Amino acid sequence: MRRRDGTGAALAAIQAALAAEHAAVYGYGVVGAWAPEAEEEEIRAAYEAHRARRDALRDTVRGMGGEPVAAAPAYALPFEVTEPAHALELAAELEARLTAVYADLVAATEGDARRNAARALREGALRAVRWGGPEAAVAFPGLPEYGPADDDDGGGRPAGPAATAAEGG
Amino acid sequence: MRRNVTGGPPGKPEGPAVASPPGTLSRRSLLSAGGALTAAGVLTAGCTGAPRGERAEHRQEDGQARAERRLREQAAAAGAALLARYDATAAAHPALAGTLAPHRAVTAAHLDALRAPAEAGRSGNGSGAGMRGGNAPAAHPVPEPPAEPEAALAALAEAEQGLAESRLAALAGAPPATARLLASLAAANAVRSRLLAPSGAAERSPA
Repeated sequence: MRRRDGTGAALAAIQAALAAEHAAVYGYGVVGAWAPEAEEEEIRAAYEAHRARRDALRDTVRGMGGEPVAAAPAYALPFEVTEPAHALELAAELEARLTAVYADLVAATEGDARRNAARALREGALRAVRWGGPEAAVAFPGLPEYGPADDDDGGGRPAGPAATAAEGG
Repeated sequence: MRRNVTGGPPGKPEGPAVASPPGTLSRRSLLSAGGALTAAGVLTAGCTGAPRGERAEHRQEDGQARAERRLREQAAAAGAALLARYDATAAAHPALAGTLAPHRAVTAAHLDALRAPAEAGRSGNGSGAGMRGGNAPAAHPVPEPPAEPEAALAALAEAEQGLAESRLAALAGAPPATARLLASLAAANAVRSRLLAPSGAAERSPA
């Protein structure tokens, strides 16, 4: 199901975004369980937003004749969540990881799909700062090749994936 | 076939039990998980693709390269204008200089990235010695910063937001790598706007 090379690359990038949204939905489940009460509402809104993106990506994959990647039953988290502050940190990591996936999706797509991916990238960058605070703001959201933070104001974040299928497959 | 929560090698001394609930996993267990590598592989595949039909695309390269350069120049001009606004605001409000510094630094880094050759993906960080942000005159006259500090910050927030929008609008005609960069810059502009704007939902207590 590839008319041109671009279609194959686009499909791969969309599947990657779908896999990342699966992980984010899972991760936000953990976040929601630990999040401070004051943030509950916004955490839930973010959770719903990621579910919506996941569903849309799944439809897109099907529309392209692909088989949408499935969610893993569980995902390894990048660090222990044992208190509310960790929950927000995890949420920030989840969002930062998504920005990289959506940046690649921008490159692999055109038109509406690209615009959508760019919006998702922006949402992720904004939420990363919403949860992680100003020090979570990086100069180049989603572009790990530029390093974690140019405006080195303290806490650089690892660029690695935040939630990963426990056993890749 | 069931995927395991930890995925890491067994027998880690401080590692969580395999059956421990999600959320109690150590950083190490993720890093050592095979899943991490798989996910990275997926990303790489999405990013690079397979260069079949490379030959056909080669013919368009000149035209594309020209269009790309023009796009980057336009984006850089807009970035230079924003940089000039940061400088004008810091000059008019010395008390804000510290607040503005990180935002200005990001704007300068963006400018470096836009002025770096498209192929030099890694270079953006300070390697473009002769092209440090700020040595080119802004294309547009710099508006006078508002006299009130809060209003001055709000004006910059608005400028960041405007730049975010124009970069998103420029995505349509951009080649993949430049589109990726522009989308990232647009996201960064939106974040800066949020951080600068008093009305934004983001925290305003960095110091």
